[in-house]
Amino acid sequence: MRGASDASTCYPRCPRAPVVAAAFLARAAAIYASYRLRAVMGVVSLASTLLGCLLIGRLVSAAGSGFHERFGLSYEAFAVVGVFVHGAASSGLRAFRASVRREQLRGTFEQLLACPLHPALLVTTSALGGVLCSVVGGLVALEGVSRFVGLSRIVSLDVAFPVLLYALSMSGLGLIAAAVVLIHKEGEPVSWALSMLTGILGGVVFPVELLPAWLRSAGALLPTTHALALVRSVLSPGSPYPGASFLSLALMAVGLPVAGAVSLCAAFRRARRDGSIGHY
Amino acid sequence: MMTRAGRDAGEPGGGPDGVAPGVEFQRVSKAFDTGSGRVGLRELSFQVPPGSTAALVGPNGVGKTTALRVAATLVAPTTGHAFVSGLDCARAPARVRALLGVSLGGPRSFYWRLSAAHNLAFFAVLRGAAPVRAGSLVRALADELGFAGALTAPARGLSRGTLGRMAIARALLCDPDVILLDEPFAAIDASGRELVWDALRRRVDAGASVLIATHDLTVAGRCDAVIRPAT
Repeated sequence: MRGASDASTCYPRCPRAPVVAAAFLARAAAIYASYRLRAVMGVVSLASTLLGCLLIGRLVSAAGSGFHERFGLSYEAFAVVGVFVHGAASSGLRAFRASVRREQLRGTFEQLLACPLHPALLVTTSALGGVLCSVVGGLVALEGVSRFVGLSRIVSLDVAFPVLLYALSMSGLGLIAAAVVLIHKEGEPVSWALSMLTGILGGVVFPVELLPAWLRSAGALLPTTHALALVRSVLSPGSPYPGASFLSLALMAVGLPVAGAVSLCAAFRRARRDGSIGHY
Repeated sequence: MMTRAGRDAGEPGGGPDGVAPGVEFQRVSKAFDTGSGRVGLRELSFQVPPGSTAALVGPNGVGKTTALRVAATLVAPTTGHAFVSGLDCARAPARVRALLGVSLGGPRSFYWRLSAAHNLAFFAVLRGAAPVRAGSLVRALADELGFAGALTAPARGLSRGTLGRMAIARALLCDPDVILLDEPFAAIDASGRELVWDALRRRVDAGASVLIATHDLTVAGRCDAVIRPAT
Protein backbone atom coordinates (compact mmCIF):
# COMPACT_ATOMS: atom_id res chain seq x y z
CA MET A 1 0.00 0.00 0.00
CA ARG A 2 1.24 3.43 -0.84
CA GLY A 3 2.71 5.27 2.10
CA ALA A 4 2.64 2.31 4.46
CA SER A 5 6.23 2.60 5.67
CA ASP A 6 7.02 5.43 8.05
CA ALA A 7 10.74 4.78 7.73
CA SER A 8 10.86 6.07 4.16
CA THR A 9 11.77 9.74 3.82
CA CYS A 10 10.55 10.28 0.25
CA TYR A 11 6.79 10.31 -0.06
CA PRO A 12 5.03 9.56 -3.34
CA ARG A 13 3.57 13.04 -3.67
CA CYS A 14 6.14 15.14 -1.84
CA PRO A 15 7.72 17.72 -4.14
CA ARG A 16 11.46 18.31 -4.02
CA ALA A 17 12.77 21.32 -2.11
CA PRO A 18 14.16 23.16 -5.20
CA VAL A 19 10.82 22.75 -6.99
CA VAL A 20 8.98 24.13 -3.96
CA ALA A 21 11.47 27.01 -3.69
CA ALA A 22 10.99 27.86 -7.38
CA ALA A 23 7.20 27.84 -6.98
CA PHE A 24 7.36 30.17 -3.97
CA LEU A 25 9.79 32.50 -5.76
CA ALA A 26 7.55 32.72 -8.82
CA ARG A 27 4.60 33.46 -6.54
CA ALA A 28 6.55 36.14 -4.62
CA ALA A 29 7.72 37.80 -7.85
CA ALA A 30 4.21 37.91 -9.28
CA ILE A 31 2.75 39.35 -6.09
CA TYR A 32 5.60 41.87 -5.70
CA ALA A 33 5.20 43.05 -9.29
CA SER A 34 1.55 43.75 -8.63
CA TYR A 35 2.40 46.35 -5.94
CA ARG A 36 4.28 49.18 -7.75
CA LEU A 37 4.21 51.81 -5.00
CA ARG A 38 6.25 49.58 -2.69
CA ALA A 39 9.19 49.51 -5.15
CA VAL A 40 9.16 53.32 -5.38
CA MET A 41 9.21 53.58 -1.57
CA GLY A 42 12.24 51.27 -1.47
CA VAL A 43 14.22 53.61 -3.73
CA VAL A 44 13.29 56.66 -1.63
CA SER A 45 14.38 54.87 1.58
CA LEU A 46 17.70 53.96 -0.03
CA ALA A 47 18.41 57.54 -1.04
CA SER A 48 17.58 58.93 2.40
CA THR A 49 19.82 56.35 4.12
CA LEU A 50 22.74 57.24 1.86
CA LEU A 51 22.22 60.95 2.44
CA GLY A 52 22.21 60.43 6.21
CA CYS A 53 25.50 58.48 6.07
CA LEU A 54 27.16 61.13 3.91
CA LEU A 55 26.11 63.97 6.21
CA ILE A 56 27.32 62.18 9.34
CA GLY A 57 30.57 61.32 7.54
CA ARG A 58 31.20 64.98 6.75
CA LEU A 59 30.53 65.86 10.36
CA VAL A 60 33.02 63.27 11.61
CA SER A 61 35.64 64.36 9.04
CA ALA A 62 35.20 68.02 9.98
CA ALA A 63 35.81 67.13 13.62
CA GLY A 64 39.17 65.68 12.52
CA SER A 65 38.80 62.47 14.49
CA GLY A 66 41.37 60.44 12.55
CA PHE A 67 38.75 57.77 11.96
CA HIS A 68 40.33 56.50 8.75
CA GLU A 69 43.76 56.06 10.30
CA ARG A 70 42.36 54.17 13.25
CA PHE A 71 39.71 51.93 11.61
CA GLY A 72 40.96 51.54 8.02
CA LEU A 73 37.92 53.11 6.30
CA SER A 74 36.47 56.58 6.09
CA TYR A 75 33.50 57.03 8.39
CA GLU A 76 31.08 57.31 5.45
CA ALA A 77 32.30 53.99 4.08
CA PHE A 78 32.21 52.42 7.55
CA ALA A 79 28.65 53.57 8.19
CA VAL A 80 27.35 52.78 4.71
CA VAL A 81 28.61 49.20 4.95
CA GLY A 82 27.12 48.84 8.44
CA VAL A 83 23.77 50.39 7.65
CA PHE A 84 23.23 48.55 4.36
CA VAL A 85 24.36 45.13 5.57
CA HIS A 86 22.39 45.49 8.80
CA GLY A 87 19.35 46.78 6.94
CA ALA A 88 19.40 43.88 4.51
CA ALA A 89 19.82 41.39 7.34
CA SER A 90 17.03 42.90 9.41
CA SER A 91 14.56 42.83 6.55
CA GLY A 92 15.67 39.29 5.70
CA LEU A 93 15.06 38.31 9.31
CA ARG A 94 11.62 39.90 9.28
CA ALA A 95 10.77 38.02 6.07
CA PHE A 96 10.31 34.78 8.01
CA ARG A 97 7.86 36.02 10.59
CA ALA A 98 6.16 38.20 7.95
CA SER A 99 5.60 35.25 5.63
CA VAL A 100 3.88 33.27 8.39
CA ARG A 101 1.84 36.27 9.47
CA ARG A 102 0.78 37.13 5.90
CA GLU A 103 -0.35 33.58 5.21
CA GLN A 104 -2.31 33.55 8.49
CA LEU A 105 -4.06 36.81 7.63
CA ARG A 106 -4.71 35.85 4.01
CA GLY A 107 -6.32 32.61 5.14
CA THR A 108 -3.92 30.52 3.07
CA PHE A 109 -1.82 29.16 5.93
CA GLU A 110 -3.91 26.05 6.63
CA GLN A 111 -4.04 25.21 2.94
CA LEU A 112 -0.24 25.41 2.73
CA LEU A 113 0.12 23.25 5.81
CA ALA A 114 -2.23 20.70 4.32
CA CYS A 115 0.39 20.11 1.60
CA PRO A 116 2.91 17.32 2.14
CA LEU A 117 5.82 19.58 3.10
CA HIS A 118 7.98 19.77 6.18
CA PRO A 119 7.01 22.89 8.18
CA ALA A 120 10.58 24.23 8.18
CA LEU A 121 10.80 23.81 4.39
CA LEU A 122 7.44 25.51 3.99
CA VAL A 123 8.37 28.55 6.08
CA THR A 124 11.87 28.82 4.61
CA THR A 125 10.73 28.68 1.00
CA SER A 126 7.80 30.95 1.74
CA ALA A 127 10.23 33.58 3.08
CA LEU A 128 12.80 32.97 0.34
CA GLY A 129 11.56 35.78 -1.92
CA GLY A 130 11.84 38.31 0.90
CA VAL A 131 15.26 37.04 1.98
CA LEU A 132 16.66 37.09 -1.56
CA CYS A 133 15.25 40.56 -2.16
CA SER A 134 16.93 41.76 1.03
CA VAL A 135 20.33 40.16 0.41
CA VAL A 136 20.59 40.85 -3.32
CA GLY A 137 18.97 44.27 -2.97
CA GLY A 138 21.32 45.16 -0.12
CA LEU A 139 24.41 44.11 -2.07
CA VAL A 140 23.32 45.88 -5.23
CA ALA A 141 22.51 49.06 -3.29
CA LEU A 142 25.87 48.86 -1.53
CA GLU A 143 27.64 48.43 -4.85
CA GLY A 144 25.70 51.37 -6.23
CA VAL A 145 26.60 53.75 -3.42
CA SER A 146 30.18 52.54 -2.93
CA ARG A 147 31.76 55.11 -5.25
CA PHE A 148 30.12 57.95 -3.33
CA VAL A 149 31.96 56.92 -0.16
CA GLY A 150 35.35 56.10 -1.69
CA LEU A 151 35.07 52.30 -1.76
CA SER A 152 36.25 50.19 -4.66
CA ARG A 153 34.13 47.32 -6.05
CA ILE A 154 32.18 45.70 -3.18
CA VAL A 155 30.41 42.73 -4.72
CA SER A 156 33.04 40.01 -4.95
CA LEU A 157 33.53 36.44 -3.78
CA ASP A 158 35.50 37.71 -0.78
CA VAL A 159 32.42 39.61 0.38
CA ALA A 160 29.87 37.07 -0.82
CA PHE A 161 31.16 34.30 1.46
CA PRO A 162 30.72 36.13 4.79
CA VAL A 163 27.40 37.44 3.51
CA LEU A 164 26.30 33.86 2.81
CA LEU A 165 27.31 32.75 6.32
CA TYR A 166 25.52 35.77 7.71
CA ALA A 167 22.37 35.02 5.70
CA LEU A 168 22.37 31.42 7.02
CA SER A 169 22.76 32.63 10.61
CA MET A 170 19.98 35.17 10.24
CA SER A 171 17.75 32.55 8.55
CA GLY A 172 18.08 30.41 11.66
CA LEU A 173 17.03 33.34 13.81
CA GLY A 174 14.24 34.04 11.31
CA LEU A 175 12.89 30.51 11.80
CA ILE A 176 12.91 31.05 15.57
CA ALA A 177 11.00 34.32 15.04
CA ALA A 178 8.49 32.47 12.83
CA ALA A 179 8.06 29.85 15.55
CA VAL A 180 7.16 32.61 18.02
CA VAL A 181 4.64 34.10 15.58
CA LEU A 182 3.07 30.70 15.11
CA ILE A 183 2.29 30.53 18.82
CA HIS A 184 1.80 34.18 19.83
CA LYS A 185 0.58 35.59 16.46
CA GLU A 186 1.37 39.28 17.23
CA GLY A 187 4.23 40.79 19.25
CA GLU A 188 7.24 38.79 18.10
CA PRO A 189 10.19 39.77 20.30
CA VAL A 190 13.07 37.91 18.60
CA SER A 191 13.62 40.11 15.55
CA TRP A 192 12.60 43.21 17.51
CA ALA A 193 15.28 42.59 20.17
CA LEU A 194 17.86 41.54 17.59
CA SER A 195 17.38 44.64 15.46
CA MET A 196 17.57 46.90 18.50
CA LEU A 197 20.61 45.22 20.08
CA THR A 198 22.42 44.91 16.78
CA GLY A 199 22.05 48.63 16.13
CA ILE A 200 23.82 49.35 19.41
CA LEU A 201 26.21 46.42 19.89
CA GLY A 202 26.86 45.11 16.39
CA GLY A 203 29.17 47.84 15.11
CA VAL A 204 26.64 49.14 12.59
CA VAL A 205 27.31 52.88 12.80
CA PHE A 206 30.26 52.99 15.18
CA PRO A 207 33.15 50.58 15.84
CA VAL A 208 32.64 47.99 18.59
CA GLU A 209 36.08 48.95 19.89
CA LEU A 210 34.44 52.06 21.33
CA LEU A 211 32.13 49.98 23.54
CA PRO A 212 32.95 49.03 27.15
CA ALA A 213 34.42 45.51 27.41
CA TRP A 214 31.27 43.94 28.86
CA LEU A 215 29.10 45.33 26.07
CA ARG A 216 31.67 44.15 23.51
CA SER A 217 31.27 40.62 24.91
CA ALA A 218 27.51 40.87 24.47
CA GLY A 219 28.01 42.13 20.92
CA ALA A 220 30.12 39.09 20.12
CA LEU A 221 26.99 36.97 20.49
CA LEU A 222 25.39 38.70 17.48
CA PRO A 223 26.06 37.45 13.94
CA THR A 224 26.05 41.03 12.64
CA THR A 225 29.13 41.94 14.66
CA HIS A 226 31.19 39.23 13.00
CA ALA A 227 29.71 39.68 9.52
CA LEU A 228 30.50 43.40 9.53
CA ALA A 229 34.02 42.81 10.84
CA LEU A 230 34.64 40.36 7.98
CA VAL A 231 33.15 42.55 5.24
CA ARG A 232 34.99 45.67 6.44
CA SER A 233 38.30 43.82 6.65
CA VAL A 234 37.88 42.73 3.03
CA LEU A 235 37.16 46.31 1.98
CA SER A 236 40.06 47.73 3.95
CA PRO A 237 43.33 46.63 2.30
CA GLY A 238 46.11 45.85 4.75
CA SER A 239 43.91 45.36 7.79
CA PRO A 240 44.32 42.02 9.67
CA TYR A 241 41.80 39.26 8.83
CA PRO A 242 39.45 38.70 11.80
CA GLY A 243 39.80 34.90 12.04
CA ALA A 244 37.88 34.70 15.32
CA SER A 245 34.93 36.43 13.70
CA PHE A 246 35.03 33.99 10.79
CA LEU A 247 34.97 31.02 13.16
CA SER A 248 32.16 32.48 15.25
CA LEU A 249 30.07 33.28 12.17
CA ALA A 250 30.66 29.84 10.67
CA LEU A 251 29.50 28.19 13.90
CA MET A 252 26.40 30.39 13.97
CA ALA A 253 25.69 29.59 10.30
CA VAL A 254 25.56 25.88 11.18
CA GLY A 255 23.97 26.02 14.63
CA LEU A 256 21.27 28.66 14.25
CA PRO A 257 19.41 27.08 11.28
CA VAL A 258 19.27 23.79 13.19
CA ALA A 259 18.00 25.58 16.29
CA GLY A 260 15.49 27.40 14.10
CA ALA A 261 14.16 24.21 12.50
CA VAL A 262 13.84 22.53 15.91
CA SER A 263 12.00 25.57 17.34
CA LEU A 264 9.65 25.70 14.39
CA CYS A 265 8.78 22.00 14.63
CA ALA A 266 8.13 22.37 18.36
CA ALA A 267 5.91 25.40 17.65
CA PHE A 268 3.95 23.46 15.01
CA ARG A 269 3.41 20.59 17.43
CA ARG A 270 2.14 22.99 20.06
CA ALA A 271 -0.12 24.85 17.61
CA ARG A 272 -1.59 21.54 16.43
CA ARG A 273 -2.20 20.54 20.03
CA ASP A 274 -3.81 23.92 20.81
CA GLY A 275 -5.77 23.87 17.56
CA SER A 276 -4.51 27.38 16.80
CA ILE A 277 -2.69 26.90 13.48
CA GLY A 278 -5.30 28.83 11.52
CA HIS A 279 -5.71 31.58 14.14
CA TYR A 280 -4.30 35.08 13.75
CA MET B 1 -6.99 8.74 -12.99
CA MET B 2 -4.62 6.94 -10.65
CA THR B 3 -5.69 3.86 -8.79
CA ARG B 4 -6.10 4.32 -5.07
CA ALA B 5 -4.12 3.28 -2.05
CA GLY B 6 -5.13 -0.17 -0.89
CA ARG B 7 -5.85 -1.31 -4.42
CA ASP B 8 -2.26 -0.81 -5.50
CA ALA B 9 -0.90 -3.58 -3.38
CA GLY B 10 -4.11 -5.57 -3.23
CA GLU B 11 -4.52 -5.06 0.51
CA PRO B 12 -8.22 -4.92 1.27
CA GLY B 13 -7.52 -4.13 4.91
CA GLY B 14 -5.25 -1.32 3.93
CA GLY B 15 -3.52 -0.35 7.15
CA PRO B 16 -2.49 -1.63 10.57
CA ASP B 17 -4.49 -4.38 12.26
CA GLY B 18 -8.11 -3.43 12.67
CA VAL B 19 -7.85 -0.13 10.79
CA ALA B 20 -9.82 0.23 7.58
CA PRO B 21 -8.53 2.14 4.52
CA GLY B 22 -10.19 5.44 3.70
CA VAL B 23 -10.86 7.53 6.80
CA GLU B 24 -11.40 6.08 10.24
CA PHE B 25 -11.91 7.87 13.56
CA GLN B 26 -11.67 5.88 16.79
CA ARG B 27 -13.24 7.75 19.73
CA VAL B 28 -11.60 11.03 18.73
CA SER B 29 -12.08 13.94 21.14
CA LYS B 30 -10.68 17.44 21.04
CA ALA B 31 -10.79 19.90 23.93
CA PHE B 32 -9.63 23.45 23.28
CA ASP B 33 -7.76 25.23 26.03
CA THR B 34 -9.40 28.62 25.55
CA GLY B 35 -10.40 29.24 29.16
CA SER B 36 -14.05 28.46 28.37
CA GLY B 37 -13.56 24.72 28.72
CA ARG B 38 -14.99 24.26 25.23
CA VAL B 39 -14.92 20.74 23.85
CA GLY B 40 -14.60 20.81 20.08
CA LEU B 41 -15.30 17.15 19.47
CA ARG B 42 -16.67 14.34 21.70
CA GLU B 43 -15.59 10.74 21.18
CA LEU B 44 -16.33 10.65 17.47
CA SER B 45 -16.01 7.28 15.75
CA PHE B 46 -16.77 6.51 12.11
CA GLN B 47 -15.41 4.97 8.93
CA VAL B 48 -15.50 6.26 5.38
CA PRO B 49 -14.38 3.34 3.21
CA PRO B 50 -12.68 3.86 -0.16
CA GLY B 51 -15.21 4.51 -2.90
CA SER B 52 -17.76 6.22 -0.71
CA THR B 53 -18.96 9.62 0.45
CA ALA B 54 -19.95 10.67 3.96
CA ALA B 55 -21.39 13.88 5.37
CA LEU B 56 -20.59 15.26 8.80
CA VAL B 57 -23.74 17.08 9.85
CA GLY B 58 -24.95 18.85 12.93
CA PRO B 59 -25.51 22.28 14.42
CA ASN B 60 -22.81 24.95 14.64
CA GLY B 61 -20.07 24.16 17.13
CA VAL B 62 -20.57 20.42 17.14
CA GLY B 63 -17.10 19.81 15.73
CA LYS B 64 -17.61 19.18 12.00
CA THR B 65 -14.73 21.40 10.90
CA THR B 66 -12.59 20.26 13.83
CA ALA B 67 -13.03 16.67 12.66
CA LEU B 68 -11.85 17.64 9.16
CA ARG B 69 -8.86 19.47 10.66
CA VAL B 70 -7.95 16.41 12.70
CA ALA B 71 -8.04 14.27 9.56
CA ALA B 72 -5.99 16.92 7.72
CA THR B 73 -3.36 16.72 10.52
CA LEU B 74 -3.85 20.40 11.35
CA VAL B 75 -5.24 19.68 14.81
CA ALA B 76 -4.02 16.93 17.13
CA PRO B 77 -6.78 15.01 18.92
CA THR B 78 -6.84 15.18 22.72
CA THR B 79 -7.83 11.51 22.92
CA GLY B 80 -8.51 8.79 20.37
CA HIS B 81 -6.98 8.10 16.99
CA ALA B 82 -7.68 9.26 13.45
CA PHE B 83 -6.44 7.26 10.47
CA VAL B 84 -6.20 8.05 6.77
CA SER B 85 -5.54 5.08 4.50
CA GLY B 86 -4.40 3.20 7.58
CA LEU B 87 -1.90 5.86 8.68
CA ASP B 88 -2.24 7.50 12.07
CA CYS B 89 -2.73 11.26 11.53
CA ALA B 90 -0.85 12.08 14.73
CA ARG B 91 2.15 9.84 14.07
CA ALA B 92 2.69 10.19 10.32
CA PRO B 93 1.25 13.61 9.42
CA ALA B 94 3.41 14.25 6.35
CA ARG B 95 2.56 10.86 4.86
CA VAL B 96 -1.11 11.43 5.56
CA ARG B 97 -1.05 14.85 3.88
CA ALA B 98 0.45 13.27 0.76
CA LEU B 99 -2.79 11.29 0.39
CA LEU B 100 -5.24 14.12 1.06
CA GLY B 101 -7.06 16.77 -0.91
CA VAL B 102 -8.37 19.47 1.43
CA SER B 103 -10.68 22.46 1.14
CA LEU B 104 -10.93 24.25 4.47
CA GLY B 105 -10.56 27.99 4.09
CA GLY B 106 -13.23 28.61 1.48
CA PRO B 107 -13.06 31.50 -0.98
CA ARG B 108 -10.61 33.58 1.08
CA SER B 109 -7.86 30.99 1.01
CA PHE B 110 -6.28 32.16 -2.29
CA TYR B 111 -3.70 34.77 -3.28
CA TRP B 112 -5.84 37.61 -4.52
CA ARG B 113 -3.06 39.28 -6.51
CA LEU B 114 -2.49 36.12 -8.59
CA SER B 115 -4.61 34.71 -11.38
CA ALA B 116 -6.81 31.70 -10.76
CA ALA B 117 -4.49 29.59 -12.91
CA HIS B 118 -1.36 30.70 -11.03
CA ASN B 119 -3.06 30.03 -7.68
CA LEU B 120 -4.02 26.49 -8.61
CA ALA B 121 -0.74 25.70 -10.40
CA PHE B 122 1.15 26.86 -7.29
CA PHE B 123 -0.79 24.47 -5.06
CA ALA B 124 -0.47 21.71 -7.66
CA VAL B 125 3.33 21.96 -7.46
CA LEU B 126 3.21 21.94 -3.65
CA ARG B 127 1.11 18.80 -3.87
CA GLY B 128 3.77 17.09 -5.96
CA ALA B 129 2.77 17.81 -9.58
CA ALA B 130 5.65 18.38 -11.98
CA PRO B 131 5.77 22.12 -12.77
CA VAL B 132 5.48 21.44 -16.50
CA ARG B 133 2.31 19.43 -15.89
CA ALA B 134 0.68 21.82 -13.45
CA GLY B 135 -0.85 24.05 -16.14
CA SER B 136 -2.59 21.23 -18.00
CA LEU B 137 -3.75 19.71 -14.72
CA VAL B 138 -5.34 23.02 -13.73
CA ARG B 139 -6.98 23.51 -17.14
CA ALA B 140 -8.48 20.02 -17.01
CA LEU B 141 -9.94 20.62 -13.55
CA ALA B 142 -11.24 24.06 -14.55
CA ASP B 143 -13.00 22.49 -17.56
CA GLU B 144 -14.45 19.77 -15.36
CA LEU B 145 -15.79 22.23 -12.76
CA GLY B 146 -16.90 24.88 -15.24
CA PHE B 147 -14.66 27.86 -14.53
CA ALA B 148 -12.15 27.62 -17.40
CA GLY B 149 -13.16 31.12 -18.55
CA ALA B 150 -11.96 32.60 -15.26
CA LEU B 151 -8.47 31.09 -15.22
CA THR B 152 -6.59 34.18 -16.37
CA ALA B 153 -8.45 36.60 -14.12
CA PRO B 154 -6.96 37.71 -10.79
CA ALA B 155 -8.58 35.87 -7.89
CA ARG B 156 -9.65 39.19 -6.32
CA GLY B 157 -12.02 39.83 -9.20
CA LEU B 158 -13.80 36.49 -9.14
CA SER B 159 -17.23 35.75 -7.70
CA ARG B 160 -17.56 33.76 -4.48
CA GLY B 161 -19.07 30.93 -6.48
CA THR B 162 -16.06 30.74 -8.80
CA LEU B 163 -13.70 30.90 -5.83
CA GLY B 164 -15.71 28.08 -4.26
CA ARG B 165 -15.22 25.96 -7.37
CA MET B 166 -11.52 26.83 -7.32
CA ALA B 167 -11.32 25.66 -3.72
CA ILE B 168 -12.82 22.33 -4.73
CA ALA B 169 -10.48 22.10 -7.73
CA ARG B 170 -7.55 22.61 -5.39
CA ALA B 171 -8.77 19.72 -3.24
CA LEU B 172 -8.95 17.49 -6.34
CA LEU B 173 -5.41 18.29 -7.56
CA CYS B 174 -3.15 15.27 -8.02
CA ASP B 175 -5.91 12.69 -7.51
CA PRO B 176 -5.98 12.40 -3.71
CA ASP B 177 -7.07 9.17 -2.03
CA VAL B 178 -9.11 11.06 0.54
CA ILE B 179 -10.96 14.33 -0.11
CA LEU B 180 -11.96 16.55 2.82
CA LEU B 181 -14.38 19.41 2.07
CA ASP B 182 -15.75 22.02 4.49
CA GLU B 183 -19.10 23.47 3.36
CA PRO B 184 -18.05 23.12 -0.30
CA PHE B 185 -21.37 24.18 -1.84
CA ALA B 186 -22.01 27.29 0.24
CA ALA B 187 -21.60 29.81 -2.60
CA ILE B 188 -22.06 27.62 -5.69
CA ASP B 189 -25.14 27.80 -7.90
CA ALA B 190 -27.30 24.82 -8.84
CA SER B 191 -25.57 24.01 -12.15
CA GLY B 192 -22.18 24.36 -10.52
CA ARG B 193 -23.23 21.97 -7.75
CA GLU B 194 -24.09 19.31 -10.32
CA LEU B 195 -20.67 19.70 -11.95
CA VAL B 196 -19.00 19.37 -8.55
CA TRP B 197 -21.07 16.29 -7.67
CA ASP B 198 -20.19 14.71 -11.01
CA ALA B 199 -16.49 15.38 -10.40
CA LEU B 200 -16.67 13.93 -6.90
CA ARG B 201 -18.60 10.90 -8.12
CA ARG B 202 -15.91 10.17 -10.71
CA ARG B 203 -13.25 10.19 -7.96
CA VAL B 204 -15.40 8.03 -5.70
CA ASP B 205 -15.95 5.52 -8.50
CA ALA B 206 -12.17 5.34 -8.85
CA GLY B 207 -11.86 4.50 -5.16
CA ALA B 208 -11.50 7.83 -3.34
CA SER B 209 -13.12 8.56 0.02
CA VAL B 210 -14.95 11.87 0.34
CA LEU B 211 -15.82 13.44 3.69
CA ILE B 212 -17.94 16.61 3.63
CA ALA B 213 -18.72 18.85 6.61
CA THR B 214 -22.05 20.55 6.03
CA HIS B 215 -25.18 21.76 7.72
CA ASP B 216 -27.08 21.48 4.43
CA LEU B 217 -29.25 18.37 4.66
CA THR B 218 -29.75 18.21 0.88
CA VAL B 219 -25.98 17.82 0.52
CA ALA B 220 -25.96 15.19 3.27
CA GLY B 221 -28.82 13.39 1.53
CA ARG B 222 -26.67 12.77 -1.55
CA CYS B 223 -23.87 11.15 0.45
CA ASP B 224 -23.59 7.42 1.11
CA ALA B 225 -23.45 7.91 4.88
CA VAL B 226 -24.30 10.61 7.40
CA ILE B 227 -22.22 11.11 10.53
CA ARG B 228 -23.61 13.13 13.43
CA PRO B 229 -21.01 14.17 16.02
CA ALA B 230 -22.37 14.19 19.58
CA THR B 231 -23.32 17.61 20.95
